[in-house]
Amino acid sequence: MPATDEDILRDLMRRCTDGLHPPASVAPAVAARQRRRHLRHRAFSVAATGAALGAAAGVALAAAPRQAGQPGTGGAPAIRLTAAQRTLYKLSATAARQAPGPGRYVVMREIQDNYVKISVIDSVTGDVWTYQHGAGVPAELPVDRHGSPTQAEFKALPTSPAALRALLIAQYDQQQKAGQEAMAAQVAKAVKAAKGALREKLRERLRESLRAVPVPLSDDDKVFEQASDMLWNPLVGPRLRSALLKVLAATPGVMVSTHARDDRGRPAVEISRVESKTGVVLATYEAPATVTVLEQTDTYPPSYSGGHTSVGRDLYLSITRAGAVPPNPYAG
Amino acid sequence: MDRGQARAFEAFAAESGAELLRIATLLTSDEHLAEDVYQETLQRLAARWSRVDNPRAFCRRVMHNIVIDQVRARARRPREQRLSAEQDSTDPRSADSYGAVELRPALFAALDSLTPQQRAVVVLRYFDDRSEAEVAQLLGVSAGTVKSAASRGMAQLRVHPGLAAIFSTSGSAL
Repeated sequence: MPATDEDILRDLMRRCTDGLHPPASVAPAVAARQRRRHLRHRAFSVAATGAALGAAAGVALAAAPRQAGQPGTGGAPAIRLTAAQRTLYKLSATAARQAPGPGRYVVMREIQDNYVKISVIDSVTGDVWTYQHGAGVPAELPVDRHGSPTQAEFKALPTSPAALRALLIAQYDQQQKAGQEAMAAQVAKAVKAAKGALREKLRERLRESLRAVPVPLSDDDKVFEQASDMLWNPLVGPRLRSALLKVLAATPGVMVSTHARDDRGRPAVEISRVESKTGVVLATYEAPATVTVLEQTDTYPPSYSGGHTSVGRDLYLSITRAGAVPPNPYAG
Repeated sequence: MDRGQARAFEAFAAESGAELLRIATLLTSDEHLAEDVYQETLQRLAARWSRVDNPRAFCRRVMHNIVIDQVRARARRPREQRLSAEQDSTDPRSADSYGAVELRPALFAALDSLTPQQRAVVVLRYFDDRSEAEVAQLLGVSAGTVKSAASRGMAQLRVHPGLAAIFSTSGSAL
C-alpha cells in the first residue's frame, strides 16, 4: 500500500489513466502533414534563392541535350501517347491559355484537417501572411518574409520540358543535401552546448544523423515530387504550369484519372504516382477547366507509417487575387 | 521534416504517446479534450522536430501552455457542463479501495479545484515523477514556486470531498 499522501495520489493518477492510449493514426497523420508543409517550405526557400536557381538551372541546361528525347526524360513526347499522356497534354494546353490574375496578392483558402487556413502571398516580394481558424491553432502566424518565390522568380525558370526535368532533379538533390547538413549542424551545436549525459545522448544522435542514408528515390520519383509541389503554388504562371504538366506526361509511372473528385466532391483530374522505393502515393487533383490545384494528398502505406495507412491532405477551397492584403477575418 | 525525421517522430509518438495522453487527461479532466491537446502537442513538436533536443520535455511544456490557453479561453465564455462531474462520486471507496473507474470523477473534480499551475505541478511531480528542479525548468518558474504550488495543491486535494476519505483512511501522516 502507498505510504504517503503523495504516493497515494501518484497511485491514484496512474490507475485512473491506466489503459488510455492515443489513436494510432494521430502521429502518422501529423508526420504526413508536417512533411507536406516541409516540402512546400523547401520548395519555397530553395527555389527562392537566386543562387540556387542559377546553380540548378546550370545543371539543367547542361543536362538537357543529353537527355532530350529519351524515354522518361520529359523530352520530345512519345509518338504513341497513352490516354494519361493525352490528358496531361490537354491539361498543359489549357494551363497555357490561362491568364494570370490582376491583383498583386494571391489569397488561398484551404482546409488542413480540422482547421481553415488562409494564406496571402505577395507575388512581388514573396511575403506570406497566414490566418487560421480552428481549435487549438493561433489565429495568425508571423509574416513569413520572402516565404515564397516571387512570380518573377518562377517566371525565370526554364519551360523546356527536358531542362525543367533536369532542374527538378537537381533541386531535389540540392535540397536533400542542404537539409542533411542543416540537421547535422543543428545537432552538433546542441552537442557543444550540452553537458554530461545529455551531451553523450546528443553525440549519439549526431552520429546517427551522419550515418543516416536518405531514402534513395529514383529520378522519376524526384521529378514527380518536385513538380507536384511546384504545381501547388498559385504564383506559378501559365507557361511554367503548362511545362510542368508536360514533364509529368513524360514521367513513367504517372497515373491519371479524368473522372476523379476531390474530398469536397468537386470534379477533378487526379494525377498520381506511387513512389518506387517507398510505396508512398502522391496525388494532385486539378480543376479540369482552370488547371488550378483543388487538393493534394500523400498516402503512406502501413509499412511506412507504423502499421497504419495515413493520409496527409491539403484541400484548397478557393484561390483568388486581391490588390491589398486582406484583414484577418479570424482576428479577435 | 524529411522521411527519416518522420520515422523518428512516429517512433517517439509510439513510445511516448500513451504517457503524454495520460498527462493531458490529468491536466484537462476530459479524455476528448486531452486527445485534442495531445494532437496539438504533436503538431507543434512535428513543426520543430529537428530543433528540439528533448522532445519529452518539450511536449510537457507545450501541453501545459495549451491547457493554460484553453482555461483562459473557457473563462471568457459560459462554463460548460462536464458529464464526468455529474457522476456519483460520493463514495470513492465503493467498488474496491482503488477502483479506478469509480475514482476517476472524484480525482478529476479534485484536480479541477486546483489552479492551473498547482495542477501542472502536481501532475508533473507526482504522476510524471519529475524533480522540483525539472518541473521548475519545464514550467519556467522558480523551484520555490514549484515547492509551494505542490504543497498547496496537495493540501487542497487532501480536503477535497471526493478524495478526503482516501487520504484519511490510508494511514498516511497528515
